[in-house]
Amino acid sequence: MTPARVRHLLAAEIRLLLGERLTLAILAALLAALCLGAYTGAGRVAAERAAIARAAQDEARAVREARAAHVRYAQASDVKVHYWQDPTHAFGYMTQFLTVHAVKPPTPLAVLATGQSDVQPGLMRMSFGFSTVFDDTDYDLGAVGRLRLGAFDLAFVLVALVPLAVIALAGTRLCAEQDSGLLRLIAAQPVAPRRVAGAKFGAAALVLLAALLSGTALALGLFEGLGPLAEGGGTLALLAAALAAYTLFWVAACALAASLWRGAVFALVILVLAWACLTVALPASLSLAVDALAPRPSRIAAIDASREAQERFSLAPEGRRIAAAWLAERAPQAGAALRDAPEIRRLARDAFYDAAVASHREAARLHAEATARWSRRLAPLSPAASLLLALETAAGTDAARHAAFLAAAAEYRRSLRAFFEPRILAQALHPVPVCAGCQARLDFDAYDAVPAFPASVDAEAPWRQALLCLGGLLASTLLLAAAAFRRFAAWPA
Amino acid sequence: MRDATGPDAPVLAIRGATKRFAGRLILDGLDLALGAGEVYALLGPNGAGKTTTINLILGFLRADAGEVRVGGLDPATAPVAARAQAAYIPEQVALYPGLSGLENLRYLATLAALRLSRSEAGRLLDEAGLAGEAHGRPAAGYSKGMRQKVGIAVALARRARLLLLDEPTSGLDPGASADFARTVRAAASRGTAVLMATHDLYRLREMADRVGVLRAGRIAEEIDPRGLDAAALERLALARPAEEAP
Repeated sequence: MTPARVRHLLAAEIRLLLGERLTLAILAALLAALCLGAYTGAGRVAAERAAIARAAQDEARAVREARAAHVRYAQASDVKVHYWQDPTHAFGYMTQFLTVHAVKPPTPLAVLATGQSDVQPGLMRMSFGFSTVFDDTDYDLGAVGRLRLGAFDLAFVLVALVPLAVIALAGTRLCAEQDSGLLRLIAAQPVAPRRVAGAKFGAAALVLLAALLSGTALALGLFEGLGPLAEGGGTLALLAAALAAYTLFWVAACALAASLWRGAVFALVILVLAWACLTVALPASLSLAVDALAPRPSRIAAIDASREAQERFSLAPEGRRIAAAWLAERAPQAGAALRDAPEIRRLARDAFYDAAVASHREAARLHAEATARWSRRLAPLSPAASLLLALETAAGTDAARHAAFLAAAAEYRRSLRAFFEPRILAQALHPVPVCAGCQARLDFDAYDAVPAFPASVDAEAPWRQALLCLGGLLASTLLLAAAAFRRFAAWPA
Repeated sequence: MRDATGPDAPVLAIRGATKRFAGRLILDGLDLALGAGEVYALLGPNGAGKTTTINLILGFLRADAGEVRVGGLDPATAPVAARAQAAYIPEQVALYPGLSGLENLRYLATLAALRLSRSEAGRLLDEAGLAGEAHGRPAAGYSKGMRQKVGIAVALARRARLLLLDEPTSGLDPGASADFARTVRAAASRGTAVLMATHDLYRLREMADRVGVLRAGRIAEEIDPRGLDAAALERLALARPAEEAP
């Protein structure tokens, strides 16, 4: 068959496909779903950016007000400001006024997938006002009822609904002709079944790919703008290729179902069952497998350990003993009276709590890492899970990035403590009045030196995951297409 | 039987074709030869093997024994090339209901590697006897006769050497049936060999040059129908082989 004849046959099939009202209805529904998904994602990303901007404003305001307090409290007065009211004192500032955040900023492709972002924090205020057991304690899920069905985002549309659109459009190609009797007339023409099947499913693939890629670009352009997406250009191109491979995978599945020559109803039943297995049952099973392979450590045990530590410290002799030991280790020269100072008791208590729950925090961190690792390993077993993981990784809402974010936030908390602790200790050991008669201590103004959270975006993970997904999908698609090609060797009798 | 590869080779040559389904013998050494411009009617009860014979000719089935040649080509080993020699009109011609007759014809011609312009397709439909006002109408509203005319137009477009018709006049009204008979004779006069499986004793006398009575998987009798009346043909068609007699 000459290339010109292939083109001619393909063009005839495309005309045939586009002439059907059902095709237009399916494509319109797909476009509407893509727009709704992009709208949902853009809204979420806008909310995240707004929250980060508000957090930055809060941080700036806290520093501004602390500086203003320096001016205000530098007046001699009989009124003395307590440490918990005093942002000019290192201990007061750290425990009551410090406003800094650990931030997981949206990536340029964040609009693609909600992923973990509606159940896990993307922004956490680092607070030392009270002791926390878990790294993500300072986070409010909001209305958990909204989480029941998950987000109607682009990832949901692309992973779960696109296969249904493919099945609706290509699932009855050749089968409908077989049921109506037209296949006999088609088969009697001097053309091999593989050519006809190739043209029919090739046309369906071309129409679907054109509609899907242009529809996705249109939806993103409408609700997010293509500007931010350009930053993730390379990954976006790989994802587009993976999405095309995913679509071709389902078109090949339709061809394989048709090649069984059992009619349209049988083909549709087989394909819908395959969809339910591959996009719902298998990812759910893989999730269960991940839970089994990376068992979750008990949060109750961690809370219990924290409670026991607090109880121990709250008992007067034990608390005093712990504070004394902490002080002796850091400042052997310190006087015994200092161990009852509020800042020393707070630092000693926090250090004691941290040590008590350290193993639990480490177990939680290892669990998060193991979960992400097993998710990555098992995802290729399901085309849907593989594409979803690639989309979430590109969007920066995947479990691995979240685990890394929580670890970075914990490290940030430690760096903040390391910044303040020597200053607080030094001021406690050598309480030098900066200003005689002033209302406050006025001995801390290194606001700009407070460490900032090193927000990071993994540049490699998104394209690596997209590439893995593309490779897996291409291999699966080729396998299905080869099976269908083999079965289309002859027309049914 | 003539030489299957020579210049005078028959358009269709079947020698000793045997076919079994699930142990049941459907064709038992069938012999059949058909030359250019000849109209041959296969007469026989349901299950006699008429459709199986057509399936062998189109290459949809492979004979267990014997050989089938279409224009000298074996449809079992070269089905596409063999089908290029033959056009087939099934008993129920189905078309894409959303497409017009014209569009259906152009689509089916495309499968046969033909590019028909709209005017060429229209001329072929005219030639097949489809009224001009129906050319552009969706085929969903076509009668069986109209759909068959589209099938005829496909065969005309293909300029096939062999036309295979499976129960072509069943369900047609007398006028459409007469139209169809004329169309078949016209095709034969252009040199097309026609093989039709039919129960229509009346029409086959008008159309066929020879009638083969298929019984127990082989041609039991071959006759010239023009010398017989309908009653004689009916007796032939209804006659049972000796082993099937009660």
